[in-house]
Amino acid sequence: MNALTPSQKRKPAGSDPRNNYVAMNSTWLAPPWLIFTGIVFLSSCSSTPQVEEQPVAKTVELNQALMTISDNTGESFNSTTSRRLNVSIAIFNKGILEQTSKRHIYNRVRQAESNYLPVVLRNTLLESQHWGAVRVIPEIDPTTEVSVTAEILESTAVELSLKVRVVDARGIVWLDQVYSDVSTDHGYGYGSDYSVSDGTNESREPFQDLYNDIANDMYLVRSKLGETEVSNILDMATLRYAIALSPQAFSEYLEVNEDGSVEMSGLPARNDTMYSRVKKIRESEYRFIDIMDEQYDSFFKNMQTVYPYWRQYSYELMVYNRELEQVGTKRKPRTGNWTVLKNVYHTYQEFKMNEDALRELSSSFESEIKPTEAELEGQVVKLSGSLQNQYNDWRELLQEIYTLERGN
Amino acid sequence: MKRVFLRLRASSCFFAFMLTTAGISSAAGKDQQIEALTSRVVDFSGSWELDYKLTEDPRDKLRWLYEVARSQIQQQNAAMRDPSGRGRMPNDLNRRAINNLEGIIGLGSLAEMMARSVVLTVKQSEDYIMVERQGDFSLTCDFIDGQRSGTNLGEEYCGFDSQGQLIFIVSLPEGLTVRNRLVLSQDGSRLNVATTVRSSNFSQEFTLNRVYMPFEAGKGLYECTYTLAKKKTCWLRPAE
Repeated sequence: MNALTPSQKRKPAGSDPRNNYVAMNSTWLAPPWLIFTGIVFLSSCSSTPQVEEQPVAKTVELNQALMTISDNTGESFNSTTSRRLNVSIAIFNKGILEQTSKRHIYNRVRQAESNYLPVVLRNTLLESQHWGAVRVIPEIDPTTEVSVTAEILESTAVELSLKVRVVDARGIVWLDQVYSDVSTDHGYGYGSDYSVSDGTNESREPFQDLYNDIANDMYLVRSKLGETEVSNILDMATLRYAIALSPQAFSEYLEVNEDGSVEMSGLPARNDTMYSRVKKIRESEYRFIDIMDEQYDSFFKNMQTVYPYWRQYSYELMVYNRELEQVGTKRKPRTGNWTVLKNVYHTYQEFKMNEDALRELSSSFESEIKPTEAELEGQVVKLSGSLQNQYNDWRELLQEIYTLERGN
Repeated sequence: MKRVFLRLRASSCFFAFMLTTAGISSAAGKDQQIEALTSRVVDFSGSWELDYKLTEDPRDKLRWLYEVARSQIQQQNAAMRDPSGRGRMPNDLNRRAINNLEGIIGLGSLAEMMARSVVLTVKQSEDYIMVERQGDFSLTCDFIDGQRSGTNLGEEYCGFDSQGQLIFIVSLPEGLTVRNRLVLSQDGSRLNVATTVRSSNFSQEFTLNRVYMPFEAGKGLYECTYTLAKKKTCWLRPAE
C-alpha cells in the first residue's frame, strides 16, 4: 500500500511524561524490600538521559474551506469546487495502559476518552468544511469513502498522542503516523467551554492543534487527488459495500493487488437493479449511523460537564510537580504554611472527585445507551445493546433483507 | 500471588480491634509490614455508616493533644530555667515547641478535612476494591498491577498488609503524605478507618480514627441514581 505522509510529527523517543513527573518520596513508610525495589527502579531510570526531549507546544491553524492551500510543490486546491468525500471515524482504540498504572481506575477514563476524542476530531473536520458527512461509528468500516482510525498512545492533561491511520476506499493509506501535542496553560481555564467552536471561532480544546494538524494533513492529501481518483474512491466505496452485502454477486469487479491495495476491474451496469438496491440500502445505513452519531454527540456534551475539569486539575498537578522537579525541591517543602498544604490536598481531592465523576459518567454511557429505532422498508426496527452490537445487528438485518430480495 | 479471601466473622472482642487501630497512629514503622507477596485479603464489601459512639471527635482529640503538648512545653520550660528562676527557655527551643504545637493543630485540621464521610460503600472483587466515600473521592486499589502508581498526582500506594489491613498512601507535593488504613474487626461488625496525615517539615503525625458499622443499603431515607441526562438524582423513598 502507498503511505502518503505529508508531514512527519512523530513522538520523540522516551518522551513519556510519566518518567518526568513521578514523585518518589514515601520512603518513611517503605519496607526494606520496597526501598530495594525503588533503588533498582531509580538505577534503571538513571540510564536514561537526564533531559528528555519533550513534544513542543505548537500552534496549528485549521485550514478551512474558501481558503486555498498550497504545498511545497506550489500546487493549490480549492475544496469548494471539488466533490467532498464522506469521512467515518471509528471510536478510538484506547490503547494499552502501562502495567504500573491503576488500570481499573484509568480504564474507565480511557474508555470515555475513546468515545470523546473522535467527536473532537469530527467537529474539527466539520469545521474545516472540506468534507461531506463526517460520522463517528462504533467500528472500522472499510466500505466508507475515507476511514479514520486511531489509537490513544498517551492521554494526559499535558500530552496527547494518537497513532492515526487514514485510508480511503481504494485501500490507499493517506496517513499512518503518530500525532503528539502538549498543552499550554492558556488551553485551560475554569468554566471554559471546551467545544471546538464556541461560536466565536475560538478554540477551547487544549489539544486543538493536534486535531487541526490531522485535519490539515488529511486535507493536503485530499487536495492532491484528481477528479478521476475521487470518482474512483466513490465507486470503490459503493462497490465494497455491495460486496459486503453480496460477495457472490459483486466480488468479480474487484482485484486485490499483491501489495494489498485493490483495483476495480469494472462496475455493474448503471441499470443493474441489485446494484441500485445496494445504493438504497446504503442510504438507510447512513441514516442509521446518523442516529448513532447523535448518541456519541450527546455523550460528548455530557462529558464536557466533567472532563475539562478533570483535565484542568490534572494539568495543574502535573505542571506543579514538574516545576518542583525542575528547581530540585521535590522532596523539600517550600514553605511550612498549612494553607499551602490544604490547597495541595484540596486540588488533589478535586482531581480525584472529578475522576470519580468521569468514571461514573463513562459507566452510565455504557448502561444508558438508548435502543435505536430506525425505519427500514416501512417498518420500525428497534435495536438495543451496545452501539457496536446495534451497528452489527443493523448490518446483518440489511444483509438479510438484501439476500431475501435477491432470492438466494 | 497467593491470597486468602475471607471475611473474618469470629466472635472476638472489639477491644482488641480498637487496641490494634489505636496503635496505628504512633506506629509508622508498622507500615513496613506491607508485604504484597504475603498479603492477606479481607472482604470489606458492603455499606457502612459512621458509628458516632466509637469515632474520635477531631476537635476533642486536638484539644487533648494541645493540652498534652502545652504541658510538655511548660515542663521543658521549667526544666530549662536557670536555678535563680529568672532565666527563660532559649528562644530556639521555645520556637520549636510552639512550632510543634502549631503543627499538631495544622495536621489535625487537615485530617479533619480529609475524613468527613459518614457513609462508605465498599465494592470489592478479588483483584480490585473501591471504597466510595460519601461527599469525598473514592479510594481505589487494583491488587493485580496497580498497587503502586506514580502519576501526575505524586506517588500512590495501596494494598493489603500481612494482617489483612488495607492501606492507601498518597505522597503529595509540599511533603504532604496521607495514609488511610482500613481495619475490620474480627467479628466483622465494625470497620475502622485510620487517617494519618504527615508533613515532611514536621516531626509528628496526626491520626484520626473513624469507626463505621454495617447497614443494609437501600433502606435509607433517600434513593439516588446517576444518569447522563440528570446526573445524580435523589428522591424520598416511599414508606414501606
